This record gives sequence, C-alpha cells and structure tokens, in this order.
Amino acid sequence: MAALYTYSYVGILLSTLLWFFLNAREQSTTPIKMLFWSSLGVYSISMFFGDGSSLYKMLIILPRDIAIYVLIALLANKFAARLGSFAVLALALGSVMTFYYFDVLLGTFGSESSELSPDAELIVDLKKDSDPASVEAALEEYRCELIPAFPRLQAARYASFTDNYIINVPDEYADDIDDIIDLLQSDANVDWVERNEIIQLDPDEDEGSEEYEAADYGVNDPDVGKLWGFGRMKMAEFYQTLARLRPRKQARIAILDTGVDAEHPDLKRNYVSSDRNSDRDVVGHGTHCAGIAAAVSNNRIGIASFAPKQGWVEVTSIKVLDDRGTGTDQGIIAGIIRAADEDADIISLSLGGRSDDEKHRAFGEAVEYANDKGAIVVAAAGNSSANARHFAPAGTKGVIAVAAVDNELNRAAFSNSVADLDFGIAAPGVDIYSTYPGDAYKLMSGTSMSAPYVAGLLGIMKALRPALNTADAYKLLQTSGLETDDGEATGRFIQPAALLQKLQ
Amino acid sequence: MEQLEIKGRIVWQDLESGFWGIIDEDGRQWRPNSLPAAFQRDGAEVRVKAERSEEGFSMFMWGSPITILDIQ
Repeated sequence: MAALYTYSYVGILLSTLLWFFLNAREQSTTPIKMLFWSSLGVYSISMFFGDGSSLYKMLIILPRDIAIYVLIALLANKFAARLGSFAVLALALGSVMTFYYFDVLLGTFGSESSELSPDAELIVDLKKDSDPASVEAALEEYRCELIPAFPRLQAARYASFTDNYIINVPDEYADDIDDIIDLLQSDANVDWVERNEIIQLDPDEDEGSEEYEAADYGVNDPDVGKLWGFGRMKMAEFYQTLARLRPRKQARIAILDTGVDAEHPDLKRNYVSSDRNSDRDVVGHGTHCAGIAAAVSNNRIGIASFAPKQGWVEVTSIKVLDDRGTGTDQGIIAGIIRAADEDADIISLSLGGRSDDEKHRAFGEAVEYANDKGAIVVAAAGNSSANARHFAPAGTKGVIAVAAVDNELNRAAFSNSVADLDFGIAAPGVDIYSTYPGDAYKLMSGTSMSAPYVAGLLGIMKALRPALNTADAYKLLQTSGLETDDGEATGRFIQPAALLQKLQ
Repeated sequence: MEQLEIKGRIVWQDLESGFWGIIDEDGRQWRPNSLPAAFQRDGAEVRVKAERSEEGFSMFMWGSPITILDIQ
C-alpha cells in the first residue's frame, strides 16, 4: 500500500507539472489530465486503506501532501511559460524526490518489509473468553503455538492484556505469514492480529541509557555501569572525598533476611559469619541486599558498594526469614537483639508486615535496645503503595525507613510513603543490580533494595564517626539529601557526597 | 480461625523475588503463601476460600498473607 501511495502521489505532482507546461504552450492536455485523475483516484484509495489512524491521515499526511502540492502547483504556474526556469524547477523537484522525499513517502504508512521478531512473529488479541486452543487448532497446518504475550503483568489495571498472545511461526512457514494472518483475521475468536516488528532505536537517539564505565567512578568493578543509582548519588565525587578520609573503626552491617551466600566472590572478603545457618541463602534476597550494602569494591569483578576498599565496613547475616522469605515478629525481634549483642553498627531490615500498636511496641523495645547498644536500625518502607506508618518495622519509632525511587527519582509505584514517619528517606529501589547466590548477579526491585543502600551509607558514616546515633545520622541524611518531586512521600534522596562534606 | 471468602483477580508482582497476589473487588491485597499452578495467570478471575496465615512478616511487604483452602 505504501508503494501505491507513493507512486500515485508522484503521479499527481508530475501530471500537474506537465499540465501547466503543456497548457502554457496551448498543447493538448488530455492524456495528462487522465494521468492526473487516475493518480488522484489511486492516491485516495491508498490513503483510505493505508495503515494508520484516520486522525493521523487527516491531520498529518493529507495536510502535508496538499501543502506540497499547492507549492509545486504555484511554482509550475509561475514558471510554466519560461522554459529555462521550468526545467530548473523540474530538475530540482526530481532531485528532491529521488534522493530524499521518495523514502519519506514510502515510509508514510510504515515499511512492510520490517524485520519480524524471530521467536514471536505475530501478536494476536483474542476476544474476551475465547479459547486459544481453538485458534491454535485453526493454525494446525502451520504448527503455530499461542503463547501469552504478557504472562507477568505487574499492574492489575492492564489485565485485559491477558487476551494478547504471541505466535511463533516455525521457520519453514516463514513465507506463509500472510496466509496465517488471513486465517486469523477470518477467525471469529480473534479481535485483531498484527506483525510483531523489531523496532530498533537509532543509536544516536539512545541517549537515555546513561552507561557509566567503572573508570568514571574511580573503581575497577566492571558492572558498576549497571548501577544507575551511582550516577544519581554522585558516587565519583563520594569516592574522591572518601579517599582523603580514614575510618576510625570498621563498621559492621547486619543483614537480617533470608541468609547470605557467604561464598559469593563479590562478598566474601567483606563477610563475617554469625552462624553457619545464616551463611546460606536459598531465596537470594538476603544475598542481593548484602551486595547493595557491602559488595567488595575494587576487586575487578561485579559491582561496588559505598566502601571503596577493606577496612570501612564488614557485613554479616542473621537469618530471620525462612526459605520462602517469610517470618514472624518474634523471630525478627530476636534477630534485632542478637545483632545488637553481636556488635552490629547498622541493622538492615528488608522485610516487614502490617502492624498494630502492640507490634510497634514490641519492635520499638528491640529497636531501643539496639540503639542503646550503639546500633542504627534501617528498614524498608514496604511495597504496598500505602502509608508506612501501618507497617513494622518501618513505622516503628526510632527506625530509619527507606522508600524506593526509580532512576528518574520518582516514587516507585509500589513504594510505601514515609511522609508520616520521623525518619523517612529515599534511595534507589527499581531495577537494582546486585549479588545473587551461585556467583551470580540479578536485577530486583522493591523497598528491600533501598534499605541496604542507606545501610551501606550509614556503615561509612559509623566508620568515620562511631558514636553517631540514629537522630544525628538521620539529620545528616536528610539535610544533605536531594529534594525531589515526590519528596513529600519518599523523603529526600540520599546524596552521599554532600553528606560527607557535612560529616567532616 | 476466621475463614475468608475473596473474589478478585490474580496479579503477578515483580517485586523482591517475585510473587503471585490477589487484588479483591475492594482493592485489598492478598498474598497466598501457595497458589496452585493452574491459577498462576495474571488477570485470572478467582473465588477463594482462605484463612489468614500465621506468618505476618516477609520480604514481600505486600498484602495480607493467606492460606488458600479452596480456589475456583
């Protein structure tokens, strides 16, 4: 259809030029008129049946084509009587058409020769309550299978997408895609079907994904570029400032979670064992959090953390969640007390649950105990898009609660609000790359990822100023933090470099 | 223990390590501690008989934990 449209439009322009030219010389224009009207007819048909919405055609394509046509008609009328000028006009028009505008016209309705996704050539939307098996049966001769297009939708409001399926057309039937589309379009179960074209970004336009090299931060960990938070937290500046400082102690960060893979090569040198049961992690959640808080930096593998070298922080694990990632308030409270008894400086809790006054009181006593022993308690705000005040331990008095933001520093859709809490702060919590059991790394999202960022930073603060208490530490986090659009709900976004300036 | 009757929609939450949840007609979030494989389909409408789970705390921090007794 794009070719038909292009040639018919060129036909209109060409016949108009010739019409004016012959008319000025009082020669017969009948064949040219026929060319003009037939081109116009084909143009109208191609416009009507071409891909794209009517609105797009009426507001964009048609005005564009008419404007160009009027311009050329005016020029042709003006220069029709002068052969030289008219020849220059025709030559210029021909050159523009050949070298530039022809491609623009061909691309008006999209290219039909676009490359299709090799494993999902077609997308089909079935009518509500239709059985995909019956559609598959209709495609039996092509051995096509319908696969849910969006099996793991995050947002319930997009549930209608569950009627969308992708179709993987076997290679031997690649030439039959048009026939398959015809079959699907005639199937009563099908709402619509479309080609699943591969859309490639122009490399010059791909400026949104800011990839940093490890060298940009002054560390040699190769995957640091995958940590978008490092750019937002101005980590290069942070490391530069930290290089001029010396720790007064090695701060201990306790990760109370599903355990930690003690043998992970990006954790091992910073890890101290609390008990053997806590040195393993079936779920992977605790290992991910430990990497965010205290991955070994400058070891030429994986990621980095706030501590650029050894001597600043160490990380330990107390397993308070079972191998399904769940636990009890008693178990977590016992873990907080144990961590404090084992000289933790920072207790990081990437966990929580709905709470009431009684639970807050029980957690509050444990937090107070930990504070008295010199520890600062950090907790994830929670993932229910609700008020963190109704969650423990995030909403418990004396806890620094951490909300999650995305790489635009907007509140993550899932993140609880910390607006009603005394000590609310924000940190990266969407698409966070960190350590995972089995010498691996993984992306995860959640306020669980935000809390260990703050825990890691507090570890550096405690290493520099061992007597720092929760209130003073929070004041530093808050006053150095960055105000953001969603700051009322998330608290300020941590700014480690600015914080160091205040801490010195 | 109190028995709950929940009518809602299955949702996949790609948070933490990922999990299945139910959002009921009132918008309340429920997190089954085990969802039968046949119902692990985002957007599926379900009717569930369940009990509140003993486990009140987790790494998920989403929804109220439940144990499913019956699901349709």
